Amino acid sequence: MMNCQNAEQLIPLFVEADLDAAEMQQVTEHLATCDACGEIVAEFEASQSFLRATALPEFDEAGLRAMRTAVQDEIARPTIADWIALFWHWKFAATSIVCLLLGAFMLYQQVAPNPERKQIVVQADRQSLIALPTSSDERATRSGTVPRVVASRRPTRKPSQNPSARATARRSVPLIAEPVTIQPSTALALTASPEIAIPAAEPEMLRMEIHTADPNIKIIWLTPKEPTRAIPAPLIEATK
Amino acid sequence: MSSNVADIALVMDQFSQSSRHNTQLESLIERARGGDAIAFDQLMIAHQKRVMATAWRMLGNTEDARDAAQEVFLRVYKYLPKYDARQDFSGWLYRIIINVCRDVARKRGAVHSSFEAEQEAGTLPALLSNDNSERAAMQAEEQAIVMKALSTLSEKERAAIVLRDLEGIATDEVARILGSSATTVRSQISTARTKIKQYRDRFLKGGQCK
Repeated sequence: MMNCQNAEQLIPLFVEADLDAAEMQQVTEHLATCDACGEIVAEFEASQSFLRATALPEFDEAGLRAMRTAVQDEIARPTIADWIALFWHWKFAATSIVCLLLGAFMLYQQVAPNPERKQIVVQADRQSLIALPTSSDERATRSGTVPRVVASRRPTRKPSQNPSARATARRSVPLIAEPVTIQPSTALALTASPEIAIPAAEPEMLRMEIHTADPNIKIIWLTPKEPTRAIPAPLIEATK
Repeated sequence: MSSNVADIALVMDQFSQSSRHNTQLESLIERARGGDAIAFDQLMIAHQKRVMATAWRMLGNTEDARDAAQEVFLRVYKYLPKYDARQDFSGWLYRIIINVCRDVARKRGAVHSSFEAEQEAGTLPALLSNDNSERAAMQAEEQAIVMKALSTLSEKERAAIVLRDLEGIATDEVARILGSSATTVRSQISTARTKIKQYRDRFLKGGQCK
């Protein structure tokens, strides 16, 4: 059975039936036996009626129309967000055009022939000769010019952790062929030694070949005709 | 037998009217969402009095209520594309009204009973138009008492009591609108009813309230 203290806590909700069914039943049973709580219920009901009976002020139609007009005007007026959206729209379009032009220019640079300067990347290894001439270079050789080979490292990259990749990178040497004039009679063997720069052969040099017991190894000795000059290191050509 | 048939006919008629009203409302919302200014104006006309009344009860004066109503409809227009047609439009609208009224109240400081302010501003034409008639005077006095009583409530209590007792929305729906649990809302409603009753009791006994 519910006591008065519990009932008084529930009466504010009881008057508008905001309790669940069980609580409503308990309060109803208590009110049947308690006049004091019944008076409290009556006071709350009067208070609720008083609250609901309050008339609203009349909102005049002119004021409401002015409010709606203000809303419509505000909606029709471009906002800062609209301007930003427009700006972003044009900015996006301009950026896209610039990117397209840049891409087209880079593509043109990649595919366009460049007769003045040709970069040839050769994957050199110990057993292969560096073979450079293209058809245009062969024509140059016949006409008295052959490519001078200058070995240089690629621009530095971060060393790879993979040993085989490091070895491959060490052997990959970009070679830039630049035409230089020499005598056509001079024979020049370019051997696979990517770590050194091969000097251009002077026209006045002697060539000696030393054949070893191994037919795959022969020693080629290049020396200037004048004995006072330093003798360059022998180049070993390995052929198989 | 004939009374049962009449009851069924009445219920069917009410259902038909309600269904037709919902269809019209959905059509208006859809057109307004598509940028139809006339449809949006009709939507405003359909809901302006409810918006103004709730805002007035929340804020206590006509000027703030009109500003709030304007902001409410601007937000309705702004968020209408995000409105899910499956949810109750009234609940969605009440949520916007309560949020706007909170913003307006915070911007302008505490909400106070404003009968005197309204009287000074002359914004009670309907109540005071009938030269010192007894009924108008009584209505105005009651209105002032209730607004003062509401001004004693906290912001959340006021929102809960306005939606539950003055707008007649069920407690669970009030909880959804306010983003609270039903238990919390029941507690707020209970406290608010008690405070209003105490205020009215003091006023009736002494005629002077804080």
